[in-house]
Amino acid sequence: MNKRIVAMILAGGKGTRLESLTRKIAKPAVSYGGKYRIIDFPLSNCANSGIDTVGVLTQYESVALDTYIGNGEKWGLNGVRSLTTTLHPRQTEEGLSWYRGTADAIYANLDFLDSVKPVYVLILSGDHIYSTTYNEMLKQHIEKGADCTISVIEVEPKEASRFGILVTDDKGAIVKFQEKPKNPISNLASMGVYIFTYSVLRSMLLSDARKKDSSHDFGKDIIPTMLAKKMKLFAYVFKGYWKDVGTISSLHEANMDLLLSAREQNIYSIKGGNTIFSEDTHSHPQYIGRKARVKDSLINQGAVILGDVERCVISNEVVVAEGAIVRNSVLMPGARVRAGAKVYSAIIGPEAVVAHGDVVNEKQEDIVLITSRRKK
Amino acid sequence: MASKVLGLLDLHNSPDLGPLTSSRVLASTSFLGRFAFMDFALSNFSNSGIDEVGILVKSHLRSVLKHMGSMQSWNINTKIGRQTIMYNERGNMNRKKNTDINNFLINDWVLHESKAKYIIIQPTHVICKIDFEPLLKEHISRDEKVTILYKRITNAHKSFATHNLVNVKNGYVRSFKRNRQLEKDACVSMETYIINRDVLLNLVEETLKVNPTYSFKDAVKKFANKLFKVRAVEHVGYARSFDSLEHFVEYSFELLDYRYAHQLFLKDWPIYTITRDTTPTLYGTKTNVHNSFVANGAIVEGRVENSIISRNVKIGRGAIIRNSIILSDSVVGENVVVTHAVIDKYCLISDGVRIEGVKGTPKYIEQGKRL
Repeated sequence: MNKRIVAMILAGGKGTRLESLTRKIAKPAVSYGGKYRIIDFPLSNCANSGIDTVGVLTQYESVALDTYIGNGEKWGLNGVRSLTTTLHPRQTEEGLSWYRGTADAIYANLDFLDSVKPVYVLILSGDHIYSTTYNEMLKQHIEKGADCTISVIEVEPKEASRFGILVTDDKGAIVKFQEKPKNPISNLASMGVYIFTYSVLRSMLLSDARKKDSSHDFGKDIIPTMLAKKMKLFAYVFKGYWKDVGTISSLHEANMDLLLSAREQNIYSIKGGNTIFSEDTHSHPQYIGRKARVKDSLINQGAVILGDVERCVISNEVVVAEGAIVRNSVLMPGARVRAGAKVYSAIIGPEAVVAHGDVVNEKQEDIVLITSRRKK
Repeated sequence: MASKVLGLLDLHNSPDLGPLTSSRVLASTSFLGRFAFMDFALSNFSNSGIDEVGILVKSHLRSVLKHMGSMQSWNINTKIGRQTIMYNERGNMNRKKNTDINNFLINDWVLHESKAKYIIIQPTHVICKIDFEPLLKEHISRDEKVTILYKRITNAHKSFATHNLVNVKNGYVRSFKRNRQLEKDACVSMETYIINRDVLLNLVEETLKVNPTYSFKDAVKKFANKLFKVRAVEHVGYARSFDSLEHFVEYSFELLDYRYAHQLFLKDWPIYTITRDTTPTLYGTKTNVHNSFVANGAIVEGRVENSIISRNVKIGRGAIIRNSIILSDSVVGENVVVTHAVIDKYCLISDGVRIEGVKGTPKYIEQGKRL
């Protein structure tokens, strides 16, 4: 195979701050928006960009994620010219080792990249919500003759210390990089989306792997080394919706962004002209009951709403019983809210149950997470 | 069951639903907002472990193919499983000969090539849940040649009009007769058969000697108790024959009632359909929705009651939809009133327009209409 561009999606992280939601599944497999999982976004972006070869690097609790990705069929990445594969840490002649960092994960799979012979490698995070194509970014990378192009987004100055921050010159060349700085000197945040010319990436990873003091991370090691070597790094400015949902409250917020009442966004503005491909559950039709009240919500097929829901994002096979009230909440697949229960500002995890008459988070000071499952 | 059985979907006997089926067959017509009729029969095959499927197409091949896609949605094993379109090309030249019997004749290679010893034939216009596994087991262990499913109904005078009535004695069919809609209590043929391959091939041959315009249904009626005995098995549970626009509306709404829906939508019996990758349904801040099925991709900002809203339909602010079915991709403007109507696909209803039918005689708006 000779591929022009190959995507490598980093999907091995746990997402510790998502608490019990990621106890048994990796963050990229977390449910979002009523029918999606977070990794649908980068995978759909690849499909919509015409990228037909994708490696998904999984590590933490990978069974559910690997099963979900399968052969890439859900995103149309299973055609005769396509290749979708999950890449796990493996046993080699040198022994067994886990992915030690983002760069190490790619380094450990250089044999895969060598076999598909790409000219460019696109490196993505499996846990970001945004809809785009990477074609413009690749075009810029080629036009500038760059070694590496980093996709950046303008963030609020007060937010900037959460990200890797870049400083560019008037031609867009990156002159300085700060990883999660206390005093950010710019508001251009790295999205963790990189295009590398493969020959450059390959030699950088080989030399980084030999360094004993390296944490083998793109942001902490590879990019600073390339800057120090005065290699050609450019920023590509992304405009549009982009969310790194690290916490329960940011996951909740990203869901609420999909509603019609969201000030600037709804699911159609977020996906732009692109389709977000996903799993299609074999659900019965969505049913709204005789006494139901549904306002300002996003509801997937297979849901049965007999109660009163407002400002909710509701997944397939959810049941909200008669007399139940749910406000400002996210109900993940198979969640049940029993009769008379009241739920405010919450995320109800997959298959979780709110029992008869229970009241969840009436004070609404923060977003709460409920993941207790019903007995099978 | 992998190689023992060939499941056939017979589209030849589908009733005409008037304007709704003028440019498509019932098999690919939208049902409950997210399915097509053929999904139910195909899911019966799939859930019964039947991997090899043939579809006998009479007309409107395009709309059937569009819904089928690559058939991956229904296949259990995509390598072991196979599907074949059986299209009666000669029948298209000669409408009288556009029957399932002639289709079997022209496409008999499907029957010869298959390793299946047993053929199961289902129509697409009868919506029901059938597990063929126990039925086939019984058919084989009793060494039957033909088994037919029938249903006991109490309203034969106004339903299953295109079906034959069966006279059953001691578990076998004594005779078939047309449903002249004179009796209320009757046993109706579900037009669902298990038939041994050699019996089917012989039946086709014998039928063509007698009358080349006979359908399979006519042939079974004619040759029962002459060439073979027909074992009769009662189907207990939900079954409706969708044979008119009025019944299409009546039976669709009936399924809004849990007492009926739970007989069709069972936990371990998924209904497979093709994926469209539509977003979930978006509801606005001023909507009011009651007793309705609403499909993905729809954006609802108005009032919807006792209705079925299909994929990608938009209902504008202040609009009122009552007792109506709106098929996919139609747009209903602001303050529109729709009652007792069926709005076909891709319609555009401008702000303030009123579309009002009467209960029992729904107003039909044809595909792509702009009002």
